[in-house]
Amino acid sequence: MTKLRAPLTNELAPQIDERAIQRIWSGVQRRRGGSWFAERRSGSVWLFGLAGAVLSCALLIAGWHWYGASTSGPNAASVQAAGPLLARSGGGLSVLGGAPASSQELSDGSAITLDAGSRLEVLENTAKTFVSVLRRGRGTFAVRPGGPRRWTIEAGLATVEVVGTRFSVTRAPGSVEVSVEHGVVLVRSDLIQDRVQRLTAGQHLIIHEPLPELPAAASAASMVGPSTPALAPSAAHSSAPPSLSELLDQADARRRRGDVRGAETALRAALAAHGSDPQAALAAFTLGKLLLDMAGRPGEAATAFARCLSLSPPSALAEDALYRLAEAQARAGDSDAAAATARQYRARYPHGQHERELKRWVGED
Amino acid sequence: MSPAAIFRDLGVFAVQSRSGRGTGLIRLESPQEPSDSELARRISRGERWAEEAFYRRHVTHVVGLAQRLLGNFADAEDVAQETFTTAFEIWHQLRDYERARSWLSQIAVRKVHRKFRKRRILRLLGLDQGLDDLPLEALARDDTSAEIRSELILLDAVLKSLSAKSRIPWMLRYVEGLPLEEVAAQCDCSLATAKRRVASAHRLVSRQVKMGEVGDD
Repeated sequence: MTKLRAPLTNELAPQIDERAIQRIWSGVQRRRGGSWFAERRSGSVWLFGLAGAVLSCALLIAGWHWYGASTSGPNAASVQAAGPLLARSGGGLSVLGGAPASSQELSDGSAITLDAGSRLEVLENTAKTFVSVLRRGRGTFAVRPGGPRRWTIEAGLATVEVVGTRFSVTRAPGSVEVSVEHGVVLVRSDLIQDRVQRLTAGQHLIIHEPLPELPAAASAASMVGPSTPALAPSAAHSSAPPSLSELLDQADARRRRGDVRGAETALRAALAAHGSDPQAALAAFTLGKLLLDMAGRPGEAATAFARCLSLSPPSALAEDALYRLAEAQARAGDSDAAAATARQYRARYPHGQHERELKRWVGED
Repeated sequence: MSPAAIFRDLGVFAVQSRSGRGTGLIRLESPQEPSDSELARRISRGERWAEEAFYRRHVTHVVGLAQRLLGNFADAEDVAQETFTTAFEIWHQLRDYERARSWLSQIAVRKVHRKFRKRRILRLLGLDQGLDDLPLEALARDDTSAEIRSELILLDAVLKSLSAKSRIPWMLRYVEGLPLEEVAAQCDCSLATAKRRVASAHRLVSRQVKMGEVGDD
């Protein structure tokens, strides 16, 4: 596990541009210009405060009554906010699409349009969530902003989370494309950089399934938009069998790009083809780290660290590998194995640099 | 007197005046920009140009702070707008002009607290979507490694589970790197309370994320 260094603000950058700076300033001026009572604050702040409180209470009570009344009518939109989404016509939603193109308006004002031959299945439909899976084809979603539901669209290689927007998802064999017309969506996938990408209006993201063989054109997620550069394609195809260091470089490049599966494939290929190479221990260690830290598969990570230790790694790497093995075993729920590995670590490295973290993983903290 | 003339008086060369829609802002590009205390003094005298210059100098800091604490783009903009509006309205309460930035942060943190309270009420009424579009991971610099990003994702998940009372002090300490005394001041609580809240949040965070101490290399 990489240690985060405080203060974290050194790793972060505010998202603000000139337009936002101007927008906020206009807002400040508007508020100040509009708040005529601000000039008189000192003399009558309590009077205004009291009047404001009374007004707020009245509005709250009125709003509450309105809310209650509006949810009691059978056709009120807010009825739908309290229950599942329905078709505007009143019917339930389970499977949408078919041979002809179709369009479905929903009870909250949102709409789903499917191209001919597309199929969308609704997995979960409640007052708070609307989860669907696009089995095939292309769907265009116009989600009403500010609604109470969190929309999620599964599309095989990627999951799209919606913040209130209009966007389309196209699922084809081996690829998924997400295009945003308005608003913001979050796309999550193991195949994109950092496993999550925020798309705004005008941007689109294409995710390709990784090719099974190495060296491959590799999985590539390319993003096109007004302000985002396209991600670089992966390494070029080579006719000669790749060396261990080439495969390690390839894995590294893919890992940096967030292509976890591609990096894993490259590392496994390195171990399979160059298992007796002195650097193979490093490949096994890197694989373990990738599986533990990025893929969330501690059981397989433990196997990789154990393999690393069996390949006579250099001493500095061996200490790290033994510690990470204990961590992976603990995270996989195998506390007995983790405790045994920890004992082994302490026997070999009585003043080991990972002693403090080790205690945490074996529950001695 | 025009802003450009005032800057000339101060020995400052205002090189560009932007005039977008609405009010234009003065872009200061001189190494001899007036200090915060000079700007604060001029704001106290009612010089509106100084407000613009002060705003321009600190808006990125305030927006960044609000984005990190709230994890939401639109809410952070609201907080920044409210912070500057309030600051200029109660400017007469600023005693130490040298500490104008810290005072501004304090106002921003109060607004963030208020935003969290509003969210809680909206959630109780079932009117909050609860979808934050700007987690720490999304704020990571372009050159941040994938390992750090994956840790930030874990951290975001832990922070989401914390109450605002614990989350804000912890973030001021470990994300912003403020000393505990400053955390207490910004959260309007005693030092002992700030310490307790930071420590209790840190225990929860440490279970999931490996986190160094402030200033620990």
